[in-house]
Order: sequence, then C-alpha cells, then structure tokens
Amino acid sequence: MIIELKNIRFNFGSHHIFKSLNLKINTTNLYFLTGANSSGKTVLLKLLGLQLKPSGGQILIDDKVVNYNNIKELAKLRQKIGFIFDEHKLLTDLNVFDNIALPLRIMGENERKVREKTNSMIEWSGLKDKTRKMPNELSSSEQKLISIARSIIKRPQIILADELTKDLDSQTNQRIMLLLHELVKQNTTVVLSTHDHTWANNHKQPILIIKDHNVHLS
Amino acid sequence: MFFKPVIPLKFGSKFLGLIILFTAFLATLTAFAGVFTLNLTARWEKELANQIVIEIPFSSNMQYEAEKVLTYLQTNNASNIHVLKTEEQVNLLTKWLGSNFDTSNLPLPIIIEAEAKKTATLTDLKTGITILVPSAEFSSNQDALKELKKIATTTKWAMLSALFTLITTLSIAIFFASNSIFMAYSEEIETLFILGATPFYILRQFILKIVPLALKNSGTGAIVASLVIFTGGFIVDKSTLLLGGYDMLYAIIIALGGTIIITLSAAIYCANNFLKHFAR
Repeated sequence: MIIELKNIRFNFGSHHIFKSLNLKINTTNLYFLTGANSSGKTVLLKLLGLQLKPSGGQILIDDKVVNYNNIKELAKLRQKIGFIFDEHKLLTDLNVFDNIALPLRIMGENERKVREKTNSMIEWSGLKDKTRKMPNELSSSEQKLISIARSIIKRPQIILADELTKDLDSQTNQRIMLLLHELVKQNTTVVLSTHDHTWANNHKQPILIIKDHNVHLS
Repeated sequence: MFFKPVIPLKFGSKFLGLIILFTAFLATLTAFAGVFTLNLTARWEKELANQIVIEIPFSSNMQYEAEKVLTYLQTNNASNIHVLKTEEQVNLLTKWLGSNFDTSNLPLPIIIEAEAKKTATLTDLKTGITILVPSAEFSSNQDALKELKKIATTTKWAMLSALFTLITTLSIAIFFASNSIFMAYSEEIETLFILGATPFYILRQFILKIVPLALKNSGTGAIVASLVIFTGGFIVDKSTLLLGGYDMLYAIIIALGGTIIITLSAAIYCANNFLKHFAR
C-alpha cells in the first residue's frame, strides 16, 4: 500500500499542527516515527489511519485521492489498516476472544475462519487461559497484547502503532518486534510512533522525525 | 452473523421499553375507539338511513288513502313495507298511557313503515306520497342520524388528534432515548468506525437490540389494552362484549404496526444523524 500526504494542513482551532506536510510511504518497511511531545505524532498516525480528516490538502492511497464523503470506500480502506492505540480501545462489553475477532466479523468473514484465526492469535498472545475474560479483568500489558492481536488478525497492509512499547516488558516487546519484522517480510508496512529516540535508533530502521510542523526521513 | 449482534449492547432498555409499552396501550385504546365509532356509524347509517314512517291521520277515508300509499310504495322501489296493526299501536300507547287507559275509542291513524331501496331516495318517496295523500305525515331517522354523524365525525377527529399526539410524543421520546444510547456508546462506535465498520453495520447492532424490545413491549401494551376493552365490554354487555366484527383486530393491527414503525423510524433517524457525525 502506498500512502501519500500532499500539502496536508491540520489544526486544532487556531493551533497549527501541520501547515504543509508532504510525505510518501511507498516502500514496505518498518518505520519509526519520533518527535518532541505534542509535535503531532498521534495526529500524523491518525491522518495515515484515515481517522482524522485533514483541514487542507490531500491523502492518496495507491495513487487515489481519499474521498472522506464516500463512507463505504472509507470503511473499506480502514479495513486495510491496522491501528494499535496507545489507550488500547478495547470494547468493554466484549471478552478477549470477541475483541480479537471483531475486525473479521466486521469484514463479514465466515465464522469458522473467524474462530480459527482468533484462536491462533490468542495462542500467539499467550493469553489462552484468559479467552473469556473481559478487558477490565486484564492488566494493561495484556490489554495491549489484545489490541495488537486485534489489529493484526485481519492481515492489514499497513500497521500504525502509537507508543507500542509503553506498557510492555522487554521480553514481550522483543516478541512483538519479531512479529512486526515478520509481517514486513510478508509485505506489510509498519509505522511505530515513539518518544524514545534511543530505542528507535537501536533498530537501524528508517526514522520519520517530526520537526517544525513537517516530517523528515532519516 | 447478520441477525446476531456482534456487540452485546447493555443499555438501559427499561425506560425505552416502558415508553413503547405505554404508547402501544394508549394507541390500541384510541385506535379501537376510532374504529369502533366509525363502524358503528356506518352500521347505523346502513340500517336506519333509508327507513321511513308514514302516518295517515284518522279520517273517514283513511283506509282508501292507505291503499293508495301501499300501492305507490309497492310500485316505487320501497321494501319491507309493514302496516302497524291496531293491537301494535295500542301496545305502543299502553307503554305511555298505562294499561288501565281505554284505547278502544281512540282515533288511531294508519301507520306504515317502509324502507327505500338503493335506487330510490326518501325524498322521492315523500314527494310521490304527498301528491297522492296531502295529509300524510312522515318521520325518518335522518335528523337523528345527522346528529350521530356529527358526533362520529367529532370523535374521529379527536381520535386522530390523540393518535397524532401519541405518535409525536413517542417519536420525540424514542429520538432522545436513542440519542442517549448512542452517546453512551460513542467510544465503541468510534472504535468500530476505525476498525472499518460502515454506519449501516453499526446501525444494525442497535436495530437488532431495539426491534425485539419494540416487539415485546408494544405487544404487551396492545394485549393489556385489549384486556381492558374486553373487560369493559363484558361489564357493559355480557353477550356482545361491545365488539362488532373485526374492530378489535383492526385496532390491534393499527396500534402494533404504528408503534413498531414509529419506534424504528425514530431510532433509525436518530442513528443516522448520530452516525453522520462519526462517519468521517
């Protein structure tokens, strides 16, 4: 999937986050996204994830301008994007299994396949004994794992993760990074936002740095 | 998965359910009163509108005049012609004057009851008879029917106004109830959109919850109202239960159908407005 941001302007009221942002992600890779606090990392991820509508400019996906008025098309595009939220955003009325299975059910996947794929994701997350637990019965790192499993289960073409490592221990962190690298090999683009420059530098992957309302690739 | 909700919505449905139940109850009573009044008026009109009573005053040649009237009626689209016998007239008078009153010497007129056939009108019959027997007097149910029609029309409009008020109240109540449900679930709705759900998909989750609620509560409301009507009818008249034909059935269909349609329309309208806000 090729995502291109052209002359993107985004502001919250009178506060400008981006004035004329240009960015093209056309190579399958694992990118780190860094920047100072409140520089707009989450906003950029949400723009890439089509969760926010820019105040100006255009977003192109596979060379086609995203039409925010075409709700069906927008939903289809969002189905190709996996988003891992900083605050997990699990549905509180659904148990672990149903939370992970949700994207497939939204996409109208056959229930037998839903079970198969969900069980394999639960296996990967190491939470097999907590399948029927509700989100409020899980720790923050377990919730993060469910959130990751939920975004990966539909095999998105791009994964956008906001502060991925925040609640995770180093062992789990390593396991997730291995998985993400594996997905990149299978042609998935990954963008990870982090405030930890050192951690980003250690991975020797391209880094997108937000500075002066614009994005620079290093 | 189409008919199985993906999200188990646990919103407080008691308030919404009570509104639907109460509205269905009132709607059934109102619809029944409306249907019943309209049918009753139609029945009265059918049975009484064409009846005429001709009175030939007491005189020496009243028999001759009566013969002329009878011949005229038989040849001019009248049916169910009946000449009141002296005993029948006496019986009627006895109810007013008492059984001790001597009616043998009373100058009783000749009274003829008849019914105009479909092709004839009461005015035609009256005109023809007046030419033959100028002293003949007439009485029909037209005046009484006019009054009844006025009452029926007033009742009909009152029922329609009551139904309209009910519909409006229900629509507003459902709209705001739905709105508060959507507000309570706004985070879930936002997540569903981000995961790639369409507004229709999200709407379906809510509809799948509201439809059984509407069916259950409007059904209960209609059943309770029917029991009230049946009980009322039984108290008034044990044999007929106050009901004629399919009045009750029509009332239930109108009330149930109306309540369910209004509930769904208001909920969908509200949902559409709400989801538009999230859709982008």
